[in-house]
Amino acid sequence: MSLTPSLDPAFLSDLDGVPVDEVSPHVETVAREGSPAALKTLTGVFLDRALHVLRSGSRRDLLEEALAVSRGISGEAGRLLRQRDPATYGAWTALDNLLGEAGRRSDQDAVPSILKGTQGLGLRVLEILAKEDKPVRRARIRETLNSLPDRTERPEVTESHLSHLLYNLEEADLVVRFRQGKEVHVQLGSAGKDLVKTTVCPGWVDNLLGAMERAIRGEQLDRTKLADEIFKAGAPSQLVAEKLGTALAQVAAKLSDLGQTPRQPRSASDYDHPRGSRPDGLSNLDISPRAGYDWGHAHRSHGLEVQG
Amino acid sequence: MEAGDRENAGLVTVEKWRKRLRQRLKNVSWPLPETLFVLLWSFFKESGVRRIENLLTSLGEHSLYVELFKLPEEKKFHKEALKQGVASLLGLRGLDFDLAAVRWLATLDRVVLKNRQPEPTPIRGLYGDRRFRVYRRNPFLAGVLGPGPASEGEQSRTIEAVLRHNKAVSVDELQDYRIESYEDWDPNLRHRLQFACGEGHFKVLLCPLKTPVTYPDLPDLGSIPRSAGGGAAFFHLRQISNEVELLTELPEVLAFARDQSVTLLILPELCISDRSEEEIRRILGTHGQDGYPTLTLFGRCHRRNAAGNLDLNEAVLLGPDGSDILQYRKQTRYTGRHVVAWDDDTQQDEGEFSRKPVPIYLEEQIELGDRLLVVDFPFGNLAPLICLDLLHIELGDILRQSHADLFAVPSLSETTGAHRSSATRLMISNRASTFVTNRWIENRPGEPSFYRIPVEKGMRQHQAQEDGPYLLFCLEAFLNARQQEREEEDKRRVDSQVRVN
Repeated sequence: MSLTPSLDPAFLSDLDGVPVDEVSPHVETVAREGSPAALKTLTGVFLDRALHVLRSGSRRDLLEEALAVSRGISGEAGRLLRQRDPATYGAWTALDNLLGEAGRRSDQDAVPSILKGTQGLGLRVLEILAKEDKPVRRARIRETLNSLPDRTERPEVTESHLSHLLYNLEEADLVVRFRQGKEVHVQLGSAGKDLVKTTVCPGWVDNLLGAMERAIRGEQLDRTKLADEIFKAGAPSQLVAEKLGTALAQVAAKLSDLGQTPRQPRSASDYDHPRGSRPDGLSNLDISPRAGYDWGHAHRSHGLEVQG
Repeated sequence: MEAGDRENAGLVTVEKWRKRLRQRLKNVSWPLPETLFVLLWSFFKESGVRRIENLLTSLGEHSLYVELFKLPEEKKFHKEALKQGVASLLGLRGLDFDLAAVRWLATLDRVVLKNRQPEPTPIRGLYGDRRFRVYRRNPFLAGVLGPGPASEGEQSRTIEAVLRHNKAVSVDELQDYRIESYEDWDPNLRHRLQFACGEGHFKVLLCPLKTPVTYPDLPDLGSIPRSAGGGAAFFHLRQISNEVELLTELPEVLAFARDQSVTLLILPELCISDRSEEEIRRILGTHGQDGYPTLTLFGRCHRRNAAGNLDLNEAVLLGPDGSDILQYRKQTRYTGRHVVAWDDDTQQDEGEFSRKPVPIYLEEQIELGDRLLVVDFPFGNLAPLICLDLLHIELGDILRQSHADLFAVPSLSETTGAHRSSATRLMISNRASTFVTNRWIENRPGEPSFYRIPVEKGMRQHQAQEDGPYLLFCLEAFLNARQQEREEEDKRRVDSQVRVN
């Protein structure tokens, strides 16, 4: 006689990577009637899943996982498990507490999971506020979110959705809302300001832009010093900082030369170059122009002639 | 007393509290965030916030956005940082001390959020021996609905304006009342509610019952002995004479709540007998732990206490499968004043001028409860109350000092004006939402059920013609209706602009 799937350790061990709603139906059965082997297997599965979701899940993912585990420790199933196997009951309870708490928390440690659950809208709100650098009307935030280029890829942000979004962000101190007359305004909270500095618009980007401006002004840039500056300002890695430092130093040198030697006619398309085919000795650099960025613009705006 | 002397007297008072705080801080060997929170909170509660608010305002700072101290990223360095913070605070005097203290308090408000609540050991405040625990506030509806009518948290001279997340709550008796945090409830239910909260699914069904509940024990006012000054009698509502009718309605109510996926169903006070309660539990048992309504709150008929000498007036909170969560005992006794005609042969003849209507006082003969129960539901820190509890002045102070921000109230009352006023006061003090299911006796008209949520136009009374027999609050529908109103308002504004142009 074969075991029902819920009680078969071999079947249970395959539940590691499946969606949580495929796990839930089996938990109560195992809690009520599972053999020691089945209980041990399911405990192991819970642990693996918990590790994964704690590292990379949204708050919703954490709560769904907690719900699944709690089926085995609640009600009649929980009572039976506690009687049959107190150690497993204790382990599942501890895991349930961990996942439940992780899904509930709204402190700074929970920010990544909170933002993950907003499908990118949370970061967009922070970007809007960071760009304005002053309180923004709530209505304007909604208008802006609904007019972003990726709008067609997701449903419209309704009032209800925005209310919940701002509530979740405010709980984590990412934003603060206040009323001014009849209007509600939103601004960055203390955690939001920190996040903007580290993630949304990190400080090293400002360093980079500053270096670009110096290059455009004709200053020579020391690539080692620049790389060091960018890395200390928080660039993701030493390698990225070095590549940026080298590229900018070369651009600065070239711009400086252009300022001193007779200009050669150029076409605008020379600046919209595909990767790997840079004019003027830049071809060996592994940097990609930002999509749509007009390299010619920098020159035109600084009085250098570009002939199309 | 001259103004200067008064000022000096005031400074002496504040200086006394500063001294006490310094002494306590010196004796704290290992400064846990909760301990520091309680001490600093207690300091401002006793000494007031006027001076510090004047200082903050003069510095251009808003008390709502007090500048925080920066703590190290890693939690393991927090305790060392707090130790240093305490040391530096102890070195300050006068208003510098107060300013640093309020900044630490605001910083700790965020730090305590990280820690598991509640801290097991209560902490003694600065005054007397009263001990406190730190509890997380959770005015969920106020948070989702956005900044609404002004609350204490946004007002002058309140420490609540500085603290967004936590509150120190007394664990000792307050004038013979006690606030008890109820934490021991089913984890699966907790996660389910948390999940629903995250999805924005929150519905409250106020069901005053269509059945005209009749009580065979309700005294006939005319038969109560009285004198020229009036009379008094106890009443007991232990049974329902038309229970069969009620038992027919209850399955309908629960089916409606199930179909609407209701989070919290509230029935009136004193309307559920033993037999009806059995039926409610049986029906909910068939729904299972994933069923709806997720929570059911009802008022039991009077039943005798253990000693057999008094009645109990209780509200029962059940889970989705009919399992017990808690039972709350009413903390105030109803005394109703009724005016009756004089014509009764038990009256003493005191002459023509004595033949006037006299008051009769009907009083519940109940054993009063002594504790407010607060459950940390994801939709708010829920405190069940019963009728008069909501409007009682002394109990109102206790409610205000608690961390409750969601009140669910079965009620049996002819009027609800005072209930509505209290609900508004709690909205201001606690950013609370209040849901009251009310009916009056038998078929006599009573004022309708209502809810008060912390938003403009957030008071809504049951209108049978519009709402049907029950009043349903649905958060999602409310937000969508608000969106529609705003869109229509924008359209009207644009149209009027076009006309002007």
